[in-house]
Amino acid sequence: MKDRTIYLIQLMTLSFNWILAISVTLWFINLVVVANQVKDTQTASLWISILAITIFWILAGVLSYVFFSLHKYADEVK
Amino acid sequence: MSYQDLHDEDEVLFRPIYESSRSFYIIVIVLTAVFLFGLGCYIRQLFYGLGATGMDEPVSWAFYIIDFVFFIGISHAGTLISAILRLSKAEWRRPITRMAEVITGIVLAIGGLHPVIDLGRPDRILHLFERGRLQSPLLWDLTSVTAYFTASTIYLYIPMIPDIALLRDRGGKLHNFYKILAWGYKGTPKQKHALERAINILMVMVIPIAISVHTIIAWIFGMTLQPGWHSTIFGPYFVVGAIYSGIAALVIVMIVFRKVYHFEDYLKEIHFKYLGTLLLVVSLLWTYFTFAEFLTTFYGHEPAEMRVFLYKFVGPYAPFFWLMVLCNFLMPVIVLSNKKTKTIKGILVASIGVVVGMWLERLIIIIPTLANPRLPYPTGMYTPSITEIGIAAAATSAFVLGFMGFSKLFPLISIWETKEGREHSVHEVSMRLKEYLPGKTEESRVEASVKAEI
Repeated sequence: MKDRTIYLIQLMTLSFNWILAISVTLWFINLVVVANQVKDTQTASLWISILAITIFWILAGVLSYVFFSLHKYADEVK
Repeated sequence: MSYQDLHDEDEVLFRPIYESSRSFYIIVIVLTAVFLFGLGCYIRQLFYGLGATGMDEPVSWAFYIIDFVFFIGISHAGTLISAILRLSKAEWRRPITRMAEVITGIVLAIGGLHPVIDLGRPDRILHLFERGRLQSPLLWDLTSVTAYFTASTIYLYIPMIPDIALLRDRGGKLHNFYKILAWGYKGTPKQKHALERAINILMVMVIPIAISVHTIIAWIFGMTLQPGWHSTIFGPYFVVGAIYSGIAALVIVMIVFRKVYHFEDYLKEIHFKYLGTLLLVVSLLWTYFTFAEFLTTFYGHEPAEMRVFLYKFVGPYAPFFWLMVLCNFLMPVIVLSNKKTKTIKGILVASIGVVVGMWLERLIIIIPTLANPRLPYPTGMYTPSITEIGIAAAATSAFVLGFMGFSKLFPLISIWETKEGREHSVHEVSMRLKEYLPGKTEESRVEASVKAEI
């Protein structure tokens, strides 16, 4: 398999994590909007959303950091 | 020693990937058959609905939720134990962490599916995405389990990259597969540094996530006003129970795979002794929580609470309750506190007992409360149907199959961590010891006198 193809597949797998983080964010925004529409209490919704969204974004960030660092320093002399 | 030279030294760790015995395939066939039977049971349930189960009013949560809580509990074996041992720089962790993390990944995937199975109509899960209430612990649970699964998978994958790179360099049929997963790792100092940094961030993140998962599961019960569930200590009680069953499951897996794949040189008796001691400590902690929970209920003597209490102690669930006490308290404490019985075999027996006992604990928490609700319903009775038993058997088979499948693709013991341990640990630990010790050590005295002479 060509190196470029492998790199593209790797990028695709990495993007799944970002898709998950973005999906969770959109889902929580939707739930907060729904809570607002039905005049449900907002405080808990907002705090839980902020916490959960942050976790998913940090996880995706850590994975991306590893991915790009490994590729960047692959040709470094040992 | 170059990066590739490791092959010979730790060859035994690669062997399971390239060699499979006949008994391996026989076990796979048997487990696949059990799994397919369970799948058939689930398909039948899709056609007939939850009527195919033994659940009825008032017992509307049963085997599926018991297995859900049980499997999520087992998941604490991995990431939590591995992260705590890494964080505390416990050197004996090195051959253990990988297996522990794999357990987490597999059981979380299996356990996480159980609430969907319990829905009867899996399409109804979509309501949670569309119109879920963020104030509901059920929704917190979905979020925390997903976050834990994501964190655990990443926490399993990142420390595996150097080993995947070794497999890539060896070539073979799966060369491209390993090349994709290795992310261009060549073992350069900056690459190592990036990996270490990510592992450090993850191990700190994973501990609160893992604790939150089981606390939230406890809150699903604890935040209702149901007798036997409405308790402030349910969060920590569930976390302790989860760690307890997690360690026991880890010990069983380690002993089985040590025997099958001849890892005796890596998983030594000392590892099991340490885990045995940990199991004993958690056993006493679990007993303390259980005692506190029941004593408070008994002292309050509230009629609704006492109905559930007596249902467990002397009622239809008494055999399960006392078997739980035997498996979770008496047996592990007797076996693990005695030097003569604290052998690998003894620890295995105690661990099997704990796993059985912890499943019974989940059963005892869920069913008696639902059978004796606060509202004026007649007392319920629950007997599992063949559908539920089939699905529970399939879940257990899926766990074993998943672990066996993993062992055919990746090393079960972290090779780079073993190498790192050999090269640096002795020096690092002796340096650390010197820092702890008061006064000057013999070596530093010699160093000081040499310096003075110069």
